[in-house]
Amino acid sequence: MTRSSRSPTSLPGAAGTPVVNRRDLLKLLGVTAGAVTLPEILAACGSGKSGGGGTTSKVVTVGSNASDAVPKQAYVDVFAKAKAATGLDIQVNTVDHNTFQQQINTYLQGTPQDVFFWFAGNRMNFFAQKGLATPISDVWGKIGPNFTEALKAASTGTDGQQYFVPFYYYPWAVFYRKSVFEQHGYQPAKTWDEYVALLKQQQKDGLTPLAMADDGGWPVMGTFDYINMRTNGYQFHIDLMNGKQSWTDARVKTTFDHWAEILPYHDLQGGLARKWEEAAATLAQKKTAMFLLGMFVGQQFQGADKDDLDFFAFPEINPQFGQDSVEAPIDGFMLSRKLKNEDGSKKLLEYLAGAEAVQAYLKSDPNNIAANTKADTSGYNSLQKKAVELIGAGRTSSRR
Amino acid sequence: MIPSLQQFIKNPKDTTSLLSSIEKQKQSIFVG
Repeated sequence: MTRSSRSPTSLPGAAGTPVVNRRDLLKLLGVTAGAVTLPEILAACGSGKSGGGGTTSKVVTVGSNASDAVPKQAYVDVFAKAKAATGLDIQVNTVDHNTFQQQINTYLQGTPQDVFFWFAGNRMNFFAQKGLATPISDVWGKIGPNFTEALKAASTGTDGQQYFVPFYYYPWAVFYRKSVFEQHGYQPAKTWDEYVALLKQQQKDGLTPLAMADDGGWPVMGTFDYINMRTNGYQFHIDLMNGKQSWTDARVKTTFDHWAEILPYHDLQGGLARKWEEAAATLAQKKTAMFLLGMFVGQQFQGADKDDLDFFAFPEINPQFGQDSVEAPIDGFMLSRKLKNEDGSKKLLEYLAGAEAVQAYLKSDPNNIAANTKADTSGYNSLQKKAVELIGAGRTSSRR
Repeated sequence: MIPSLQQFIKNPKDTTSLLSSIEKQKQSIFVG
């Protein structure tokens, strides 16, 4: 996601199977390391000026985590159109993505902007239930027809109210360059045995099989999520993340055993501190053969290289679960609890829920899929089409 | 969680104590 979320999240699937998001895990576990110690950057940037609170104010403030170049520019386009369409004075404050994630709790309790970027599902509900978000069920009364029931469910808190407007989503998968696979005669792996054999062959061919990054702490969680879901099933994974299963359960040990088996095939040297963009560059440069990441990895590929990018679903480990889960975080917008301009904020959300807004976004960042079912998908590139296929029908999991 | 997973990547051989550590951490988070 544009780096927007980057985190894997689980979507509820077509068959009711949600997908898991790793970032959620962080939130659920409350482990956002450093969250308490970092300076309150976000709060300091809060919406101090919003023109006075009345319903006549045209100022709506927005807190954005879309700090990466591609999504940041895409949102410039979106908000320019939003301004033209709504007449609102939209003031966007963009904060470094990882800082935003780490500071969100403090931010929402301070002086947040009216509208803030966030994620659907558990991550949304976490703040909704803490009273840090304004319910938008009235907005959903207008925008509901734009979204599937699954997306609505992902936007609904445990109290039955909606708190989230979905914008786009994207899958996590094993990305690779088609030309590299063709050159060496590699085939996408469907099973764990095939995957391990592929890693060994790539290493033998002089490639580093798997790119690696972990700056911000979230990139490797995608690997954990997938191995655990494939080993123990989606429900076990969710239960583990929700604290309902023990980490000392033998099944979790099996997950880590699988992970340990493929760990040596990762680009480990400096890997924990590496940014995802740097790891994506190693894939683009054909130094590494594959990269398990969200589809936003495509932001680092340009021109012909972009057409060379492809992916396959994370392989099956336990036939009982097959490949029935997809990590597909949903990015979108929420309203903070301390709104300076409620009417204007809701007007903006209604615009962002429309097809025009997400189409404007995807025009410059076509590394995601529109959440709005009425959005024009005729211009989707091959990767977007494949992502729709991966997340959509035919699979047990996912599509919100 | 993040430090724990990073610890695993640095030393993937001692998962038993690592998982015990995560479980204790989880309990301290979920209790109350």
